[in-house]
Amino acid sequence: MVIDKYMQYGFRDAMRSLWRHKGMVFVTIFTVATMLLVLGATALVALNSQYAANEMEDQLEIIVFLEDKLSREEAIAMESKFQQIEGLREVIFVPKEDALENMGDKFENTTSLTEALGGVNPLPDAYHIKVEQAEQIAGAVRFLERQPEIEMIRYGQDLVDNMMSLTRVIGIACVAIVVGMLIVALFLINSTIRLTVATRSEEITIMKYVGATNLYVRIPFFLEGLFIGIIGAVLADLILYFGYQYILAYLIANLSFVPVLDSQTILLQVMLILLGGGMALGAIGSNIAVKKYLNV
Amino acid sequence: MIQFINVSKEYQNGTVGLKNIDLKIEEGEFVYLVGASGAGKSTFTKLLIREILPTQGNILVNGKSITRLKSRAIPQYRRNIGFIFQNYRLLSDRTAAENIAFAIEVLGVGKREVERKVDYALHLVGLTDRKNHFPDEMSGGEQQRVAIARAIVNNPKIIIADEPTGNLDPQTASGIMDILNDINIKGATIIMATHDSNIVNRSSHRVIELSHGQLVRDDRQGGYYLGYR
Repeated sequence: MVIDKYMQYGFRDAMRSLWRHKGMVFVTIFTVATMLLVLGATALVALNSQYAANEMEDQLEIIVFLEDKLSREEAIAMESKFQQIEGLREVIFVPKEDALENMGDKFENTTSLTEALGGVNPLPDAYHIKVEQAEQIAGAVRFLERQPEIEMIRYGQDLVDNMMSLTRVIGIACVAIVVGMLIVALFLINSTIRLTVATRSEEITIMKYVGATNLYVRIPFFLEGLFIGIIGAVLADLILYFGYQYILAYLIANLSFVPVLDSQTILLQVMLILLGGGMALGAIGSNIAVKKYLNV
Repeated sequence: MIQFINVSKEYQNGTVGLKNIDLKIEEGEFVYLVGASGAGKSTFTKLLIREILPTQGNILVNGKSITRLKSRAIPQYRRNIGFIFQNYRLLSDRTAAENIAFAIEVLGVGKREVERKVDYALHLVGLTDRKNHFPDEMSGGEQQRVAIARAIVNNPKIIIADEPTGNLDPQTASGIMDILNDINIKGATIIMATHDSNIVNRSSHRVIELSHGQLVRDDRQGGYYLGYR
């Protein structure tokens, strides 16, 4: 089979020219690795910001105090009403006894507190309500305000507003940075590969003169591009992996209040995407670059 | 074997490469293509290896029109032609043997046959001992002999040589001519574009002279050279 021989010669030629053009190959691998590393790091920063924003969002809750005149049954029945809240994630009923106990815990002496209050629990029954997203809090509050059984609603209005704009800004910034880096990476990697191929345009021309088919010319360049892409991506992946572990360990040890994304799955996914991206960039990039010189 | 029928080539910038060329080259002929720079010699050879297409007329090789060749069929066509360039055009990152080998490898033949043919071609041009040398380790004459070995390794019926002695001293040039004459005697048709009056006058063959893209002389008897007009 001709194609078998082409692959065999193509592989040999690819290895040979990788070795003989090692300077250029090194520069290209370095460019690919650097760009993929920056891209991967940007993606991880973006994912972490998003994660931190979500974490903070998760902690936002609405506390609803019920009218004191409500019976326990009426108070419990309220829960079904809250099911109408859009984006409802969690409803927790806190009976007044629990609330008092919690408060007592804080003062570390329940009996004296109850005694001090003359045996009467002044606290109302309450609900702690969480919604999926910060944007849904306003809607939930509007709904709750219409309920006559509710005496008071407490939620961090300013915090919610700030969170919402922060989340939005972080989201947009992350997408913009990742897209921007992707364009820069594509451009740089592509021009480096184009330059590498251009220095060998004479080789392509001569091959075509002796009757080489386009396939024969393309195979070694394809394999070289693939190889450069893989090596570049693996380098970027290794640095990213160990770098991320190091920074993560540092943050957890020294700045434990900063929420970080400690997920191997997501890190591996980013690494896998970089590997796939590197391979595709190398192989497709070199093939596009070769195409320009095939028309002899 | 080769027939130009009323062939004209005008480039996109308006330059006339060839104008109404009618000629026939028989199998086994040795033809000098002479003329000043810009006379149309390069256009002639480029048309023949199907690098460019004529704007008018038809070119037949072995009775088949190469102007109607589909681009898929061009590699196959070129494998029957050996091409020799003035500046050798060897791949600088490959040894002599490797430079010759890839002209056979494009056919998809096995390693052993490639080696056998490369050795034979190197033997024909007298460079067996330079097999593993890189182009920049060889003299100009040696590099041109490698290029000739590459051109003849597939046993082509037609050899096109574009100023093959242009960069060589007279002694080395005459060595190259001996090799080309040898190949011609073995049956290949040779079309050689040249400036070199000494060479044309020394080994007498048919002379086709071009000037401003037109055929101004076709000296079938050959044997001497009149020089430029």
